[in-house]
Amino acid sequence: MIRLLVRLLLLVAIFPALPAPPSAAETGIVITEEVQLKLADAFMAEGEYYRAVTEYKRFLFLFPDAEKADYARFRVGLAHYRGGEYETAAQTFATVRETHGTIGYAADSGYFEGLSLWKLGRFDRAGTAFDGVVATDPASEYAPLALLGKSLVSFDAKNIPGCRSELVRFLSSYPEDSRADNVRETIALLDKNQPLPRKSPVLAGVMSAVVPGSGYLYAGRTGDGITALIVNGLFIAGTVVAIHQENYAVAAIVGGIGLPFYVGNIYGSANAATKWNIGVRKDLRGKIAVSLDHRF
Amino acid sequence: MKGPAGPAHGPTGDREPETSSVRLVFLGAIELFQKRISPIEGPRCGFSPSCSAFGHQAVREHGPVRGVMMTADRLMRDTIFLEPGPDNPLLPTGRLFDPPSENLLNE
Repeated sequence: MIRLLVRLLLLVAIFPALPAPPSAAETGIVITEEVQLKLADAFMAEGEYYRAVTEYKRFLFLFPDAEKADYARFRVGLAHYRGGEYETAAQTFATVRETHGTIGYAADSGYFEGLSLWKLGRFDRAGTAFDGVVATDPASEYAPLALLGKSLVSFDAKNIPGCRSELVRFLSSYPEDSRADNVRETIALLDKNQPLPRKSPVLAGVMSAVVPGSGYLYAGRTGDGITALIVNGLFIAGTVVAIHQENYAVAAIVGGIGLPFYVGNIYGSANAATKWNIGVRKDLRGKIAVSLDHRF
Repeated sequence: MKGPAGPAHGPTGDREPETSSVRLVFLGAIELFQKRISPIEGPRCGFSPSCSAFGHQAVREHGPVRGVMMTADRLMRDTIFLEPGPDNPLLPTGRLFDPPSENLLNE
């Protein structure tokens, strides 16, 4: 009994001397600005844009006065942009740009705001955003890019002279830029393709109304033209023969079935001419993009 | 963007009920073809969506007049002259992509 007491006393005596188990605070991960930002950047690099947005926003919540808070705000917009959320991206970039005026991420945000609006098909506002970058920070690396962006926005808005004038503006503003030669090539390409070849959808429709299928031939669709000519020719011939034979019921049935094909041939010819015009513009657009050698 | 799935927006989710009787007649005829006639010989259309699906969508979205014109045009284009191009890219299924939205006379 005494031995047991002595042992207990000894145990109590030496207990404080034993090394204490590590506390959670010592072994757990301490979230610092750097760790939080690295985590967000890692998600961004892996294409996990939704999670990246969450982590950048967590950074801004935990460290609102951090030195890199502006960087995080800009990256929130960029994550939305890369994730295809152009509406939210444009709003985020606009907020960052308005907050910064002409410093920090203003030019970057203005440029990406322009790109987001361009993706949304808001060409006028995209052009204004690009103009803003050039006007507020012409020395920024984004300023020449914004001019190239505005030239393509003008092209997409079917304003080819505007596209050319932006490229000329690029050359006069940044003659020493590494892309100047590409821009000169693009201007030459635009000049070579002016005016842009065009087929009239109205003329195609009228042609097919007079001679079924001829509008398709005019729009470069030989096979469709031949098919339309044969199909409509058979229906028209069948209807005419039935009328000559005084088989008015048969004429009404054949004519009734043939009528949608006749009208469809007119519509299709106009559609073929429209597609031809779109194809020509797309082709030139592709060549310009290659010539500018820049991915937006 | 990768992330939690939002509310589903399926092709039937935002579809409004049909009210035009002419439209209903055309849609009914196309559905009858799809359910009773088309399965006899199986899929043969060289386009995607198929001509009947194209017609159904065109009539539903653009009304019977424009829908029928678009469908007639499509039927005349589904021939031996069919070939892929910038207007009709070739899909992995071997069919050419040609939705109604690409045939609206919009430049």
